Amino acid sequence: MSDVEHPEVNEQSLIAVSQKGDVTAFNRLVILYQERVYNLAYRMLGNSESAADAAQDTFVSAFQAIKGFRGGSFRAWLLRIVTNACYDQLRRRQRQPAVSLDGIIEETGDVPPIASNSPTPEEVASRKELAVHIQKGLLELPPEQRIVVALSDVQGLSYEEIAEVTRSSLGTVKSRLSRGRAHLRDYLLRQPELLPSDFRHKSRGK
Amino acid sequence: MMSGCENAAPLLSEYVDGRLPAEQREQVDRHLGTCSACREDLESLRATVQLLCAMPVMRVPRPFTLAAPAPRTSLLFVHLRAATAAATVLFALLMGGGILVQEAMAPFAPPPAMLQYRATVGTAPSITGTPAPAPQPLTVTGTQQKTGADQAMRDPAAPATAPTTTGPPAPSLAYAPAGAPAATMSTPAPSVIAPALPLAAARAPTAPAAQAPAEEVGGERLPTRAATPAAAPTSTSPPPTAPPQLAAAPTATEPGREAASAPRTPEPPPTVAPEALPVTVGDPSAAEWLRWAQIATAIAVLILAAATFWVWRRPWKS
Repeated sequence: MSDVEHPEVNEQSLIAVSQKGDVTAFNRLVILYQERVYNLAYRMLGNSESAADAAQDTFVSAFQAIKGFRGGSFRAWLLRIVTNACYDQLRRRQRQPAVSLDGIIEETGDVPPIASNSPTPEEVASRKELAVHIQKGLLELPPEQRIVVALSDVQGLSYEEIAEVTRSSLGTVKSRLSRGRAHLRDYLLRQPELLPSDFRHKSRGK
Repeated sequence: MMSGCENAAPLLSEYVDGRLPAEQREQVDRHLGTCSACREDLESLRATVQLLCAMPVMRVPRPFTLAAPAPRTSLLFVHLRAATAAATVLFALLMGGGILVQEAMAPFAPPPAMLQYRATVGTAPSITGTPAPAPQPLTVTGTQQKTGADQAMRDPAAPATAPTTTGPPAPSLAYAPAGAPAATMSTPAPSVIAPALPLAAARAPTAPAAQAPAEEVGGERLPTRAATPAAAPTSTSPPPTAPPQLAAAPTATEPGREAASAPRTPEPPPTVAPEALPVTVGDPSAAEWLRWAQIATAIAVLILAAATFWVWRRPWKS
């Protein structure tokens, strides 16, 4: 998902037209980015409803702010807005803790299976279960680590881009990523039965 | 520089990403060769990253595209809504102000009348010249009754020559609202009323044309009034009995006014009595103006509200 290709030229022209207030052009950008935006929000919030709200807020804010976009990475600019929208959602949730964490995570069960060549029903089920487990682990991380891990390992952004999105230094990105990954790994190892058999023996590079 | 696990551990994440500078990478490699625990950590970390990379892509539950006209209309809507609110507030102020003014007018005359009134009160003796202009314009625009009132107001000074006996009744007449005064007057001093009405009628027709001149020539009017009062004087004498009734009516509406009016009343009384009949003229013009303003504002509120509603509904259709 993180490797969806966007023709740069097309994107630039869409941005330019959007900056003149053209909603139609902006909506084409929305279509290009909505999956990425929604998925980042989902990983941050673990709840499809909150993630959809955050994604919608993101595009509304983005359209209002796009006149102020001064070039550079549009993706980073947009993901920064998502990040802020997610923090808003988390703050809102803190104020109304009516929704239990368990309730939130249950919804992760809707995760569609990874597109795979020939997944058996068992594989699909176990993958779904694993995805829920990983999502739970992500939600255990402090938000500032969670966002870095999600941007790096789910969204595939470089350290530099993550630093741009989170408005932090490279050093901060690296240390948060390192701690976040380590925490998540420890969390996953607490229930090794959910992990693929080769968890400890994978040697493929990223 | 780094040989222990505590030094290698924080670098494993970057190591996995291949982002370690060559020198540090070699050091980590060297440590890994001697530390199976760190090798395990590295592998589990790498596996974690791979699991994250393989996380399923969630399908978007709904498109997040924006409604095309929404932004523009919403801006228009905001402005319209603000305009509607402003018009409504203005309307409320006009209505509230109208009530206040009406109450105030019972004792006083409308704003213009007030000016005259003050002039007369303060300068009563010499007033005739100065006050006349102000009241005149009011009377012209307003109804005949009003003009009469205005005249009465300024007359006080001019009429000074007139008999003082009527003093009390005259003031009361001036206070009384346009409508009320006539009725009250009729009861107390029939003879007086008769002249007054004719006067008012006569003035109404002449007033329009006279307006401009009237303002300029306060003196001119006075003469005419003097003539009318002259006839009235006889009637004035009876009024004394009437005054109490009149006074009562005004007081009911506004006690404070009476006090204010009291001072001037003594001076004007003589001439006032006859002229008092036409007195209330100034008020109508102001009241009418206010009424038109209220109507116009109400229409504006309705139109704006309708436009706001229309704009509000439209975006959702598209």
